[in-house]
Amino acid sequence: MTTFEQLKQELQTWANPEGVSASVILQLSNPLRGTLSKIIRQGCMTFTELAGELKLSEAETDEIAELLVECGFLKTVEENADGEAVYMLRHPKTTRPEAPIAVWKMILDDFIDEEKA
Amino acid sequence: VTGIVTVHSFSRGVGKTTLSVNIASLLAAKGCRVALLDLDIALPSAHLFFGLDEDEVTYSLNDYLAGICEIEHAMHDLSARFAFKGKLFLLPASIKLADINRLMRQGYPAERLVDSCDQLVARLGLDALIIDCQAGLTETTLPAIALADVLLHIMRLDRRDYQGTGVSIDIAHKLAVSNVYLLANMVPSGYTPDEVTAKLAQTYHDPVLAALPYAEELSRLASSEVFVLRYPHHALTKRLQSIADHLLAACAPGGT
Repeated sequence: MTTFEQLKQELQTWANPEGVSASVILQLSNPLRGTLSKIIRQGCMTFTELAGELKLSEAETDEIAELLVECGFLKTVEENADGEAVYMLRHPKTTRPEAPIAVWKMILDDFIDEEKA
Repeated sequence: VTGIVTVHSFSRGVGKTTLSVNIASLLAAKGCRVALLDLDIALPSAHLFFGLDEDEVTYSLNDYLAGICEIEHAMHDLSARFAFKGKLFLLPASIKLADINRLMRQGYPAERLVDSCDQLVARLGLDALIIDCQAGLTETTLPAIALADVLLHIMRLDRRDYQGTGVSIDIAHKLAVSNVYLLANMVPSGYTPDEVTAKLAQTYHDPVLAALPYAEELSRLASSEVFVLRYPHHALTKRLQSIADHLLAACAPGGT
């Protein structure tokens, strides 16, 4: 399966109408997880940068970017001087200081791995 | 270029705030422009070290996160108070029970946190933004880890901390944080710092910045003063200066 097909398949399982939290990003596979983490850190990402991060062609990036917006991961904020789209992460409306299930799953997985070893 | 340094720990009481406050002060004393954001909204304490009284804090980080004030209203310039060569801005979390409860119960928009960092960096021309985040791994600590250019994970030599440290640094790597450092704090006498450092590096596969011994003088200050300002010639101050310099260098593009 190509990266493009894998990304399409993965994104079809997600819907984040309230925005995406860091714990959701943790559950994604790479290169998606790394790319979204980078967007958090740098604030936004252009279409060209997105294509470079995901290692996709222009046409493939176009389709994946559309899916990322549809799934609620990204929002298009503006077009830069070159006329290309710029994306930002859609942060959740509310963040509460509670432990996310994804973290507990990681701890449990570590424990199971240790038991197996 | 501003670097965001997130100071994190899995357990409480490992000295995360003490180290954040001292590192920020050392950088400011050296001439850097630094902001310290107290994101430990459940147990805020950074203001105590600087002697910032409750009546001096009209607006806090809680107010900004709740959309009550602008970032500049919540910011406190401590540079003149401590005669720093550079600048030190503190964004204290509120110590009012009602404010703490409100944020714990209702949460806040994650975008406000990200926005606060962007605004601080843009308005203050910072060399470093230090985030003293809440202990543990919660929905509020994860964005602070994700935002970090440099993550400093503090731990104690305590079994309760070992697995949590492993999970924390694993999460930092999953969130593509490029510089992850470990620091063992309050190491009891009887341990050799070099041995502790080597053992931790071997276990966690990340660089260990230091294994700092328990310091009686630090303990006696009881969070009422900044250690490095009170004891500028202490051996621990020299170790902390080296840690602060290392973190600042790691913030630079391509820095390690």
